[in-house]
Amino acid sequence: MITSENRVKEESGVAASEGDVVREYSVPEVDVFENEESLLLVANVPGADEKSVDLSLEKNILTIEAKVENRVPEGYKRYYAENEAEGYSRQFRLSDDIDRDGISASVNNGVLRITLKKAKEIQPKKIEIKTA
Amino acid sequence: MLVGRFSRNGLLNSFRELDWMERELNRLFNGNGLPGAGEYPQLNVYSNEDSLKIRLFIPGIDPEKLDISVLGNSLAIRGELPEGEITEGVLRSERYSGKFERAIRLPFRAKAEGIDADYSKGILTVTVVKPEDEKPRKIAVKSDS
Repeated sequence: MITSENRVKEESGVAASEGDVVREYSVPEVDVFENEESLLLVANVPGADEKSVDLSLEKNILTIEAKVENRVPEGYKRYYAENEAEGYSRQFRLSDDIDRDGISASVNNGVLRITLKKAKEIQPKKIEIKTA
Repeated sequence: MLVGRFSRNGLLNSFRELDWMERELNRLFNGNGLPGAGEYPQLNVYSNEDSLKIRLFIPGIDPEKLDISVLGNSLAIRGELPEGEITEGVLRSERYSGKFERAIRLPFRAKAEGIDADYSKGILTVTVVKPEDEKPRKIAVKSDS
């Protein structure tokens, strides 16, 4: 129903360049949960908020992108750094069982939550049994 | 090479090695395989003449539960990344949950009152101000003439 696209890593390792400055994007860690009605995708995007997260769906590829402000603070010099990414990028391939209009998302404390509703046809239906 | 090390160090050390190896593997293969993820969240340090700024990437935590302590020139940040509220229907699990700790050796002896911490958008920023008595002092050189 949802698969991580590995080829994206190569494509988005370096996502954009501004003059001589190459902006590096990293691949965010993601959890995916499934219940009867929907899928929940939870991604770590520290530094991002609802304004900087960009979600797009093209054909069956869901793209998560976020720019973050992670430059050296003004008046400071870089002393030691493990994370110099200026954004996140990752793509997922969705199957046709996902309702294209039933996607919603929120960001809180650098955690992105995306709910993907399953198409009505594949959701389990309760059949009521009438009594005579 | 690893096998050689095991046989040389005996059983107890083998377990220690395994423990270390497990931690290293967890660190390397946690989620997307980026070093620094998981138990040891990623950290950046910036400096200027008067202070040090530390950036720790810990999305989704309750800042009330963070423990920042300083002793001499050692600063420790401890906390816990919350367990997911969902335990059923797990299709993919890359995000680390559980306790974490990062300790930093500061280039000066800090005082608790000179430390300021702010948590925003999943990033903890700790500013450590260099105490006055740690700053270099100019010593005037007298001369006879």
